[in-house]
Amino acid sequence: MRRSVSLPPADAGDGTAGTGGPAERRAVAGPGASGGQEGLSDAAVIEQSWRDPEWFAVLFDRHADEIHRYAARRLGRQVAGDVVSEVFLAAFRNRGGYDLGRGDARPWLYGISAKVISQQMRAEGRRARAMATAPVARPSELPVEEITDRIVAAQMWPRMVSALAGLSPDDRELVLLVAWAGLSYDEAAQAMEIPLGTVRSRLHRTRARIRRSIGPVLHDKEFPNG
Amino acid sequence: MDEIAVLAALRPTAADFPAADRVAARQHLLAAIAQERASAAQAGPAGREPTGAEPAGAEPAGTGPSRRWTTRRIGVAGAALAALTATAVGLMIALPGAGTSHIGRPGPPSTGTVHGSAPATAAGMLLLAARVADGSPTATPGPRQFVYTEQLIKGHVEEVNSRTETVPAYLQRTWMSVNGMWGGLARARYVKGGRWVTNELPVPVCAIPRPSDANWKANCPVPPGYVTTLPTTVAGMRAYLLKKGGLNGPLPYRILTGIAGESWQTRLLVPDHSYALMFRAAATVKGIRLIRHATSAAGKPGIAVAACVPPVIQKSSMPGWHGCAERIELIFDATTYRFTGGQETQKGSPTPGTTAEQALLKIAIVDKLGQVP
Repeated sequence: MRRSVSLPPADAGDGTAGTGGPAERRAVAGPGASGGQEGLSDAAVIEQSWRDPEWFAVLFDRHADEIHRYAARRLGRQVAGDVVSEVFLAAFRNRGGYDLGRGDARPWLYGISAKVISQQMRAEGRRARAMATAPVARPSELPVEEITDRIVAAQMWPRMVSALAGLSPDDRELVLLVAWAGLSYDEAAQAMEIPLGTVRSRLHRTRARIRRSIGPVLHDKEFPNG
Repeated sequence: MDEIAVLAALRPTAADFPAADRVAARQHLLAAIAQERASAAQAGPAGREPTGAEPAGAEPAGTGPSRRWTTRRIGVAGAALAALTATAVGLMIALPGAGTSHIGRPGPPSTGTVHGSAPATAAGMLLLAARVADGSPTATPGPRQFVYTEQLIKGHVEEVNSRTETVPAYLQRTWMSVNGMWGGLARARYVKGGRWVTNELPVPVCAIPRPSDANWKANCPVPPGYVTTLPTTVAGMRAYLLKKGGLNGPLPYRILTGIAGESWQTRLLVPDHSYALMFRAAATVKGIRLIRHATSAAGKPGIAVAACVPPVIQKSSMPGWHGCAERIELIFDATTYRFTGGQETQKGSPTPGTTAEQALLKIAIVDKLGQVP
């Protein structure tokens, strides 16, 4: 007879409410969580994923947060999660073309992010383009500590937005990868799949255009974090 | 400071990746991984089609650890499935039903007639319910969703310090992966020995191989929470339910037990067309009783069909109890005749590890573990 019972499952014994965490946390772990992936480069992880696709989740665990921050800055936090999802799906499907000579996969992921963001902008049209061009946060939310810096930043804000809007999509992407994602010129070249010399010349041109837009304010006040 | 540094200084702040969004994004990736894995497995070791992911000269994804895992999954299916259903999604039965329903006399043999008004027999009720289920829009859940069930547990008996204690009524919530690959969770919080106890049993994510995880090793693969493999004819369904309902005992008990055990009682969601077949199969069985004014454990009125647990079974575990002490009921909405849930009640001596009354309060599809509809 089916008289005996299964439940209750293992007693937590601490008298606290359940969090649902165990299963959810387990879902977040990848092969590397128990497989010693910590010492492996991104390239080695991707190579492993050619044989065992589950390894690709390790790459997500390493870099999803950073890609999310960049996407949130570009398109807003409402769609940043979707961008991250698209980026890693595209990366997974194209992992066969990854250059194993590049140990750090961040430039590759940023390059995919740039394409996804561009597609998102085209899909959402003018409003999204405006959002992507202009920084999302308000000046009061900017990472500047001193009130005088905030004032200067607030003054600078509309002109910088105007300067970014005047750039070509490729130039804007490049300068934001350097300024907001913190990529080096060499990493930006990898992300954009262009030569390093092209990066230098484009950034030189872009800086000149920004300088013309933001004008004298830059020279009146030394900026924080500079 | 140059212009790029200025732009960097104007960089907007970005909030942390919300946990729920992060899990969702990761699960999208895992789905793609599982899809590729499934494609590789389907192609087989000799005829596998390239996925396009690996470059020329790379070892095929169908070899190595992943291939071994796929093979192993097939090999352990029987034992692991039995283990899981006995633990994570096992049954709870038994004790004094506080229900207000009254078992009526057994109805006449099924005539196969569908009544336009209130059904007069159990068979009529079942056929009405089958018609309603057949006419219901069927929304097929996605493979990454979860079957959520909410059950009221009354009279669960525990042993505390060498004495038995009946814990107060509580809810048990369960989430089961629609396709069995993406884990699940059984959660209950109740008072035991004068203090709150939280019991949780995570169901492993079988889509990700974890041979070193005892939970994964013991339980994968997990049966799908959404059942799509049931028989497709009334005769086939009848035979199937009678087999699942036990080899011995009266047919009414066996077939209703088969329905409960293959659906709500084991936290499984069955497509409406399969429920319709179940009800039609039950309508062919004589001796099922109609309860015109039944009340569910949640206090909702309805019409029920019921069967007594046969005395020969009662006597083995509850000596001295006579009559229809234990019964299984399927409850339908009194107006729409839609199946709303079921319950099983039992009277008898409290035995540690048994439950007096188990009733389905809610069953639904949700997108995430822990989500309550």
